[in-house]
Amino acid sequence: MAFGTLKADTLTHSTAGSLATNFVVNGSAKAYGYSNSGATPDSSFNVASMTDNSTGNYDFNFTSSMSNALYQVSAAATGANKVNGTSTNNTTSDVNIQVRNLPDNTLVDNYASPAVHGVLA
Amino acid sequence: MTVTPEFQGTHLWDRLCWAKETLDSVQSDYRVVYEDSIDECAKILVPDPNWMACALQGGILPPVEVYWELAKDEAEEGFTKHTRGYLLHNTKPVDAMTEEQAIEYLIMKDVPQSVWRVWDEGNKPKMVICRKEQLPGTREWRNAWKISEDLATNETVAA
Repeated sequence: MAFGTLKADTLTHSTAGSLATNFVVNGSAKAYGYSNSGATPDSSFNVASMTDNSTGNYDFNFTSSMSNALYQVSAAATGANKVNGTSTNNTTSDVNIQVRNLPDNTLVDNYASPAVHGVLA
Repeated sequence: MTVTPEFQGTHLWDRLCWAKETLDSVQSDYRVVYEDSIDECAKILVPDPNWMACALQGGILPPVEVYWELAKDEAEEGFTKHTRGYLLHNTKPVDAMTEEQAIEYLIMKDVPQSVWRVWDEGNKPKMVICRKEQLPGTREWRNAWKISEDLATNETVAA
């Protein structure tokens, strides 16, 4: 059903127990992105644009803003010895992702793929 | 042709869920190059294909002024969380835009106001809209990218 609405406060499994649906709503990723170096978007949700700040430094700008900047970010890089991290410059309207080379901690161009969990504005 | 439901009053995130399920993404070739610090390299704004689909469809995105209001709130000292998020959801959504209008909207949303409001005040433009293929072909010297000194602020078309 396209754009149907199912209203329920609790989901109950026959044997595994019950789960309040507010946990489902609050626990869903509110934004995600997957982009190659140069911030060319490949896959995303709730992202209006990406900003290629410099080598290995990208912002994902949200369409639907977060309530506060204290949201949780999970991010992963592709390739050996690469790691995604986030900075302290996040705002309710964008998340900053930095891709670093593990041995020397330098910024490098690579895939960036953050998922953002938290409360929406 | 897909008809957008009446979305005023619907949470913006829910509208994006509908759009993701319903609309085909639109990959734009436009890029916005801007400099917000003379000590840093140029930044490149890239439109998201799902967002562009929403902009072209119409009836989904809030007016850009809503984002300015939220940014004002966030800039207040002592800000902890948004209390006017309803502006995103309850303000009448904007009508369908052309791709060029969508880029203008995106500039006003995601480029610092200190750049786009005074983009042409100075010896060279602080911001340039270009095509993807006009950017350097490799990223080898990415941290040295700058807007050309040869561009004049009274030119509307880059050579």
